[in-house]
Amino acid sequence: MEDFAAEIKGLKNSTKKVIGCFPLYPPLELFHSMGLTPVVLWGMPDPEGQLAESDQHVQNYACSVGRNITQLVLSDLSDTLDGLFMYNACDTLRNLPEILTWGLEEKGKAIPVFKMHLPASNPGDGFGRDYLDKRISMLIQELEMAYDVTFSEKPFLESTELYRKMRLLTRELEKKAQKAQIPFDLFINITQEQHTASVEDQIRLLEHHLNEQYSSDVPDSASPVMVSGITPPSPELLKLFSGAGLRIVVDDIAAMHRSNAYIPEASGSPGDYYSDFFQNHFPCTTLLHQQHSRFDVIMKLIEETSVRGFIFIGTKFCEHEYFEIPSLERAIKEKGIHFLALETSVGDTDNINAMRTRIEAFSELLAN
Amino acid sequence: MSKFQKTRAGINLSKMMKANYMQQAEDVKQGKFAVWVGIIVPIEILRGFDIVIGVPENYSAMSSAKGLSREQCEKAEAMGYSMDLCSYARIDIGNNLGPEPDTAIPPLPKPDLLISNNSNCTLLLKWFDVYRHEYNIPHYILDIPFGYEAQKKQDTQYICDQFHDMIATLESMTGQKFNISKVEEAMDNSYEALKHWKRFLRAGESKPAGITAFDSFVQMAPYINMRGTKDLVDHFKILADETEERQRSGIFPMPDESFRLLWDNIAPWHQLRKMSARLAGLKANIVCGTYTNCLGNSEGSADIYPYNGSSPIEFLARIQNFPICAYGLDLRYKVLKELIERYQIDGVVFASNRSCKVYSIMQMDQERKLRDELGIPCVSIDVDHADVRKYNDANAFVRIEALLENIEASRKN
Repeated sequence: MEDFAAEIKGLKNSTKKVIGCFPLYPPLELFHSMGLTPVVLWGMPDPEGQLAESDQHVQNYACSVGRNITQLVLSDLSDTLDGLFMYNACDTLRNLPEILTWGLEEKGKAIPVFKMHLPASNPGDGFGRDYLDKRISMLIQELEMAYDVTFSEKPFLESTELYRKMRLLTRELEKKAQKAQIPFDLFINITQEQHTASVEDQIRLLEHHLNEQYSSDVPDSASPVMVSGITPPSPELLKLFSGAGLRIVVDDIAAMHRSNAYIPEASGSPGDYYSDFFQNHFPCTTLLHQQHSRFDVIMKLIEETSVRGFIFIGTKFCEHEYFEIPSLERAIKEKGIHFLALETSVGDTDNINAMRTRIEAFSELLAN
Repeated sequence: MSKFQKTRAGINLSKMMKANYMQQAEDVKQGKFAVWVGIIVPIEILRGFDIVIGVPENYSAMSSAKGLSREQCEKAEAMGYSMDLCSYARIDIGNNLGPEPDTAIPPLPKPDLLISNNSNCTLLLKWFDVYRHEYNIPHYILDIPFGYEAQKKQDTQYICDQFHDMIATLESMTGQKFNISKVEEAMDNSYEALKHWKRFLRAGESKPAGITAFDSFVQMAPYINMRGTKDLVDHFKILADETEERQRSGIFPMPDESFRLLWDNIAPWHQLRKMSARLAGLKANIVCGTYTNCLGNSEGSADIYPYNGSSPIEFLARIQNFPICAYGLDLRYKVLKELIERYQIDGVVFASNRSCKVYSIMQMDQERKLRDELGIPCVSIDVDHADVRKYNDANAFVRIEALLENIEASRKN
């Protein structure tokens, strides 16, 4: 987490205010257009389980994502962030804005904390769309007041163009990773780096890697698999996959494919843009208006990529993911695809050896 | 009441709940349309249709109180549902989708439609979605913005819009015409019932208290699935009248009450009798619970939200944040402070509930602030509201006894 925090602190060298956002799909373009630098507080590895500050505020039966955000904001970043933004996703995260506000106040710090309710009804139509429009307008007003900035359509349009470019490049890189033209662990590292980089730096980073020639040490004969979860597999887990003869050819990871599969057209209207963004977003377990379409989309991906196995990487205590697993497992197996469920936490390296045997056995199953 | 003698209200409760359940089963047999709803879904609106309403959360709590939770949870876990998931959900899924349904409490009649809302918790949507997959039926989601502050007009309007859409969905699915006068009648009944409920809870304010929170945990059950009915009004009237009569006659559940405690969280249903008896031995009475106090309130208030008899749909939208889980830390602190003063509370028990993160993940800060600002002793104990396997009586009581010692010490000082 120190590196993660150091990257964010690095952004403070510019004159722009830095706003920490969670969970994964905040209105980054809007912040950018108003002269702010948004960073996404997601997937930070914890330093060998040291969560002393978080443990004062959040019970140990909350997921590692929530605990790590708390630790990061109240310790390493308590002097760094100029604001926090969150929207509703799960029960743990919806409690965090006030916990963080109180925690910062205890330290004598006060920063603006913006909270937006993302409609769980269809944000693309009818009353869901109306409500989304109102919440975005409210957010704009709050940002204008907090930072003495002004919203206008032209910079918003430019920001949406930039983010569109960044997402297109990310998807291009993802395709290379799926074809083993870039190692998958490197691709994951790059997507993690993107969370703490400005969009301009993200574009530079992605262009650099797209221009590089990489080779993957995973042989073509390795069994193609799909991985799924709210956080990417750790480097240790990836080593186990490749060592066991598994090759990731597609992912359903929240911070990866789910984030970039749908890329909205640029627009000068925040209402139109975010309505499109959320309505057509790749279904994620954290986006409540989409849960009815997740299985169909996953099955389609499985069919398109001819994977032989599906690996669910569960983040412990993430109820949104775990509720769908038994039904999803059955649906996947009915397609003749093998299924493996692993459970981990962000930064968890203790259980790697216990997983090795299961992963190797799974690989043998696929090979046969 | 704490000695578990059946009161008039206790006898009536069993009779009424059983009759309601039997009637529902019969109605479904006769082909009536059945809906399963989350506990905060405004069932007064559904009274505008002639349909059967089942509430899975109530079913799970009852199952746990009757000591049946272990078996049902294990069935769900055997099907792949993680032990970390809410125990209400595991009990319900285990019983409905497991190999053999429970015979002591038969499962709810199978639904034609699911209606959930995310006011209390978002995981309810995921739990109900399991049934959408398994039964291949529609799942209607009511989206209630979380209450970080008082509900805004735009939120009330958004919720009203959804209620109207839900009504249109029901009209289309049932083929029935929505009857608003039945909703008005149901709303009048609910409001009348709530006034009796608050009268019953006020018995906890006296010293010694006229009730224990355990009485309120048990008696709240019909509010969950029988809102809007005349039976509920009659029952809460019996309950409040009888409680007041007992107080006037000098009958108190704990006449030698030394410690007045407040309970923050859902009740550990599997421990009601045991915990109540053990606390009585320590002369400690839980006189108030945030869980049972919040019925009919608005967010951040300890009192019932006034209903003037008009616009039931708008009123029901306005109180969609009534459960304490539906609002944030600042508002919860306000309510806790009010209840501590009103009930002359000596100490607060924060039940850290592994199955209810939305209730629990705030308690550490809440506890610290109450201790620092009000100087009130607090303790946190680990519980699970329905999974007995996740509760350790010895550990809980070591901490509760430490709280009582702390209260004693603070009195001496």
